[in-house]
Amino acid sequence: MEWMETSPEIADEIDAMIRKHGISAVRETVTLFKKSSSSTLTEHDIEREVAKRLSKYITQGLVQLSIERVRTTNEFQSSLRDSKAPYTVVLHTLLPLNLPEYTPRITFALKAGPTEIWRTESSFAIRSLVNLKDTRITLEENKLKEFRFGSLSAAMSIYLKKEQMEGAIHSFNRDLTVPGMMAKEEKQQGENSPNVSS
Amino acid sequence: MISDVESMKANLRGKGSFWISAGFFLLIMAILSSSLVVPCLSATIPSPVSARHTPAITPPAPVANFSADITTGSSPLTVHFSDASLNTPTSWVWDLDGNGRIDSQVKDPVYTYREPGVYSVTLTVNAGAGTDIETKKGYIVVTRSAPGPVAGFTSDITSGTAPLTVRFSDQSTNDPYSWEWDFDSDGRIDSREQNPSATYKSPGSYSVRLIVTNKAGADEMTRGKFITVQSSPETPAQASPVTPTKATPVSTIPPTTIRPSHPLTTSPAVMDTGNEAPDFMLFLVLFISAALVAAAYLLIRSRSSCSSGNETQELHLELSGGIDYGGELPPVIDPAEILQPGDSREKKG
Repeated sequence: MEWMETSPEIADEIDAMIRKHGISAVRETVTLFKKSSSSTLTEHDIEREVAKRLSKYITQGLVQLSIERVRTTNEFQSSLRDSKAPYTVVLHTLLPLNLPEYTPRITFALKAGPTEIWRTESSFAIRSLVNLKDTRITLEENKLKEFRFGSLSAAMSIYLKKEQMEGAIHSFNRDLTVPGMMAKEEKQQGENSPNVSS
Repeated sequence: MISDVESMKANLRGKGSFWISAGFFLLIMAILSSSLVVPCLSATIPSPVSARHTPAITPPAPVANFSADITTGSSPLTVHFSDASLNTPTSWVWDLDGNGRIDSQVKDPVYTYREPGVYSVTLTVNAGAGTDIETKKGYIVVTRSAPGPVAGFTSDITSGTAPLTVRFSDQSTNDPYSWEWDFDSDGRIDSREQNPSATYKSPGSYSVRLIVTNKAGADEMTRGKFITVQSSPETPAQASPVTPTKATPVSTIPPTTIRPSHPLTTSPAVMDTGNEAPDFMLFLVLFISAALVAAAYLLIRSRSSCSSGNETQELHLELSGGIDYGGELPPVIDPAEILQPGDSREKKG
């Protein structure tokens, strides 16, 4: 299972965050790059790419850690059956899941040919609390084969990590969609779902 | 015949020294070329920097110290203090008169002590790593101000027939160190000697003024109509009524004392003086030509090096990234991509 698509809500939040704060590494990189290269690469180009990557990483971390946390819940454990046939369980209400902190990072490298001549990195610490409802999981021989978020809301705080300190630069609390995994697709694909129970 | 042989030897020596000089010049230019090209390349490619792995360094604590340009003198005494603290402090607090109050917060203050006394000086320096205090007790000693001078003078005679030579005697007190005499009160200084003499050539009454100066100040004394010069039938009219008899000495060197330090012809081994100028001109022309050629070559070489470096090593920016889960999950490593201007590709899984 891979969730490579970005939540549009998270992308909106990251765009707003970068517009508001900027990223010092981006400015640093652009300054150095313009001095050393004739390229027309702009700060906006880099910021856009940073926003895109960061949104993707935050979404991916949120999804992966949510699944890991769901695995540990009583609801999930009690839904395990000694069945070789695949079956699907809907977890209607889960307690809020406090996800462990994870750290997306973006690395900027200035290269001349294959030689790296300068590098810097921006790391962000993500702390989040997730509420899930109607989470649909498909199991086969006690292994998770499919995971679909029913309703996902998250309170997230994004911290910019520096060498000896970190500071919160953005927070939000909103419902999130994970494209391809939400109710619309779920309804379309629900007809093909095997045994569904709650 | 012998002189011809010696002349040839001399010419050969001259040309040999020329080629040695030219070779030496080319060697220097080669060294310079390497030093020109390397900065060119190094300016193109900045040195690698890793912002992530920069270790945290705790700066050492500052050590306060200072000095002063003068520590003893009479009031008012202006003292220039110089910070000599170690480990680059970022702030300075000075108590310059020992009264416990802050007198200055600059690095190198200037302070004027107006009252006599013995003063302690305290410097407190601060840096990120801590604070240090240095106190020098009784560091500045200010004595009472020296008294100003009092001008006074006399002369051996005060009247006579022209031309009248008068010898003046300074009687100023409190150790003046300069004297300015105006023998006829025309506003111009006629002598700077302590005890000058002057000759009055025209009849009349002359006021004399003396200005004396010491460390504490200046004073002047003017004696009106102090010198009276009577006319003499044989005294011709003079453009200047008075002249100091002792002119300011001027050092002159008699023309006869000027001698060339090195005679041009001292021995037969020296180059023929008749050929020296053309040989030197030839050497100069060749030297300048070689310098121009070498400079042009180096310029072309350094430019081609720089431009080829830019062409072959055009810089580009790569972005990569990933997710660290802190051991909760295996880290995600996203491959690097070269970022292009206006790149708006949507990367989907």
